Amino acid sequence: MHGRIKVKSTEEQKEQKAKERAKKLQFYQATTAAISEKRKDHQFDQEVLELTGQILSVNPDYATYWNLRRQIFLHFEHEKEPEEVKSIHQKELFFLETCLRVNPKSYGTWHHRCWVMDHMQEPDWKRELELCNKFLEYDERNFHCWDYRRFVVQRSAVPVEEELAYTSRLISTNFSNYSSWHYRSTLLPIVHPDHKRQGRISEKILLKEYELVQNAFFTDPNDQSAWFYYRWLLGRADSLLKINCLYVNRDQRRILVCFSRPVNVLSKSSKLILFVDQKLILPEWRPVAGQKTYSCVWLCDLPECTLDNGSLHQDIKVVWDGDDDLQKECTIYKGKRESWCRDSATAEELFRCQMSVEKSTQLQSELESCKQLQELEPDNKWCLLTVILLMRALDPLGYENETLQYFKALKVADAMRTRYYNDLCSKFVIENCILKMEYAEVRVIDMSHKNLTRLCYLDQMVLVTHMNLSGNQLTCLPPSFLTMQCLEVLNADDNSIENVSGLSNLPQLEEVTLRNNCIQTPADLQPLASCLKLSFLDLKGNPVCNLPNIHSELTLLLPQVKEIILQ
Amino acid sequence: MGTPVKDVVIKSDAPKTLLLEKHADYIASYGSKKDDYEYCMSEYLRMSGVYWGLTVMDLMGQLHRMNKDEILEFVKPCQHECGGISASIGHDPHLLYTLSAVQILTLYNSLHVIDVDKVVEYVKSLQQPDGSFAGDQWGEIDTRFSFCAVATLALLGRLDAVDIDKAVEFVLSCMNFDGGFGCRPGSESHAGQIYCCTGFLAITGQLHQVNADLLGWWLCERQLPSGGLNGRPEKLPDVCYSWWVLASLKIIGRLHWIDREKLEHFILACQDEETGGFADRPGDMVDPFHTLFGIAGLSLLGNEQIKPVNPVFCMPEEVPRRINVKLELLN
Repeated sequence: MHGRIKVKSTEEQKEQKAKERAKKLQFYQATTAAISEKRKDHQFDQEVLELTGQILSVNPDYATYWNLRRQIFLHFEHEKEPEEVKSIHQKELFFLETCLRVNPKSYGTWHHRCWVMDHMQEPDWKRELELCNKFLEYDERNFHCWDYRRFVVQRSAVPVEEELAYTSRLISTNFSNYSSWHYRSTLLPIVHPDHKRQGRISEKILLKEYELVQNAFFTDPNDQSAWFYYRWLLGRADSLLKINCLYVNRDQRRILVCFSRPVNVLSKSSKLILFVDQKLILPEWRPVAGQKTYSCVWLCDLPECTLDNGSLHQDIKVVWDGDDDLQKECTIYKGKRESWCRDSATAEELFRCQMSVEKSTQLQSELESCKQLQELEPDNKWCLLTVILLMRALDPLGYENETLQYFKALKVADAMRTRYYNDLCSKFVIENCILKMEYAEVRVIDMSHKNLTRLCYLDQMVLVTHMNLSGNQLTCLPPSFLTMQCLEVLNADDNSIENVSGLSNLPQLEEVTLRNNCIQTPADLQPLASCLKLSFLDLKGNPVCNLPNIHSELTLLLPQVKEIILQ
Repeated sequence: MGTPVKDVVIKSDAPKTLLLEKHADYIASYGSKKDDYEYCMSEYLRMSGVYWGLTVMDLMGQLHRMNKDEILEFVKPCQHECGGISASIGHDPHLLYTLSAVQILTLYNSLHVIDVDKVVEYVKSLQQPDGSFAGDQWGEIDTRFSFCAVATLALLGRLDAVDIDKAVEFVLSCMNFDGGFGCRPGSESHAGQIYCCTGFLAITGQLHQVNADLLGWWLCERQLPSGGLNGRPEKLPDVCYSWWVLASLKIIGRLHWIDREKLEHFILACQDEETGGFADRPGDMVDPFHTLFGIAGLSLLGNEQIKPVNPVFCMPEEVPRRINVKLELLN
């Protein structure tokens, strides 16, 4: 089905081909019919092996015949002497090898080989490893063979270090290395684990690995696999589950809990326990985005007298799953509307991984080398992207402007992926906006005129009261916006917003300006009806403003809004 | 300097417009010559072949040209005693063809033709202690089969029949350094497997476990200068990856990371003006498999002459909607 070139042939050639095919077809039909007869009669014998072998050597995807061969072998294992069975298995391995030489990419062939090996009394795993070596020499990207190799390694307990050494050999000699780098990515964390971060590598080895990969892409800057692998090396570990923020609002009698990644608080196996002044409360938690099962942000409403104004202060504590390490507490004082406790984003965990001096020094020098490479290969997009990733890892705020310059160059070098680069840049820009907000210790975030094409990290902005999104390229305020539970003022002017589904059930939202966007109909503004405190809405410069009777329609839709501006 | 990029060059005389009628004619008459060599040689996948043909005809609004009765009569005897369904008569049952059969019967609203409870029993029997699924009684494990299992059960409304948590655990254990997925834990990322795993996670409501930005990057890097998509780094483009890669991107909410115009140009170039149908790449031989995925890819790109396609099930969107299958994709 793949790679069959359509060749223009003469009438004579066509006729010749038709004759050959008719002959092959006749043979095929006769053979399959014969096999069918014998199978019906439960005849599991050498003849069926012969016949199925003839079909399979031409068409190894005829899965049923591999099944039939297995049925025959099981029958033989029952009926024949071990010596004879051994010989039969050996012959089968030989047959399988000839099939593999014709088509090294048939699932059925490789699986059958696994099956035969598992049924042998004395399997020769060393020979199988040699077979893998041979086939990988022909085609280092044959994933069937790599998978078979992993099967052999597992069955015969080949030391992981040896496999790691094998990948090192391949990488240093060959060109087509993605499969080898991939294998390495699974082996390194086993041989040299980072005990603090699951699935990651110990730092000493990591630094050596950086060097190895740098050598690879300096030798051949067009070898994609090295650049992919390097990105992984630069990446952060998967974050451990944490409670990032606990927020209490006395007026709303509401508690918000923000996790570092989506969880299901309502599952049978997990519990989010709430204590108010050491007293256990079992509230009804709900995800901030209505119907979702998994959410980063959860909230609950407190029973009537829980937060009375009598005592000087009250202690609020949430504990996840009985795990004392996963908890957060805060104190709300008499007369205060709200209180919270949160982890700062400036703590290195949120956007990038912690860096020792050695690592930081080495990466700094690698950044310089990459910049030099970039001058030699100005069109190499991998290099441009990697420079950006290194700058993000080392100093996101310090390299902010330089990063934007590199993104400009990237979009010229690799125009096809412009939208990806715009979204990636948006993400990095928002990271910086959050960092600046945190350093300033304010709850106001300014993301205006930053060429944003998407919104990120909204679930980490639970405490934000004022947000400026004006002058970007946003087309919607999506459901992820529902986490902006403390938002009071939103400026989203001068975007291309058509959809504001995320602007619903935001209890503190008072002022929204959406000037010069793409709101088409009153229905588009339906979500705002549930923002009960909304008192000011500026829609100037939207197509919706030109509809007849629009002011009365909107007044009906949004009765709580005192001022709706249309011109 | 260094390794040249593997790609194709699209000739200037390659087709540039969608030849919908030609494709409908090609599929309608495919398989009418029961003695055609290619046709006979592909008997081992016939059930999937029928599903590809029916689905592409339905997407083109031409389902009525297929012989419903003949097809239902073909499917019924392919269900074996164990409940599993085979590719054709005389072949052994397998999850791949069980899914294809259920898709066919769902398209035709004719699930009564088979014993649905037995199908569920068969699927359930193939789940392993580690949550994975074997393709059949002979034990081959592959995330493709995890997808086949949950897609089959989702269409039958019977996801409760298997241990979903364990099934999810296994699929997640197949996630790689690049955000992609392979056949088994430790296997290299491949667009086909990624489609199966993201489809699986969509069905089981676990898409938040995917690193969408990282995987989306790997997927959009499948696009080559010709505009076509390959299945993994340093491979040639192939029209079927317009489906596997594109559907995956749609599921994780990053479809816009592909250059749509260039991809459309590539897909259209894979048409055969003479015979109808699509080939894997421009100038090659056509077949129903690539025809479906070329059309389905164009649908995902927004072509209005084709019905919207569901990116998880690869069926017209109206079908899973009709049977109320719950799916939430990332956005």
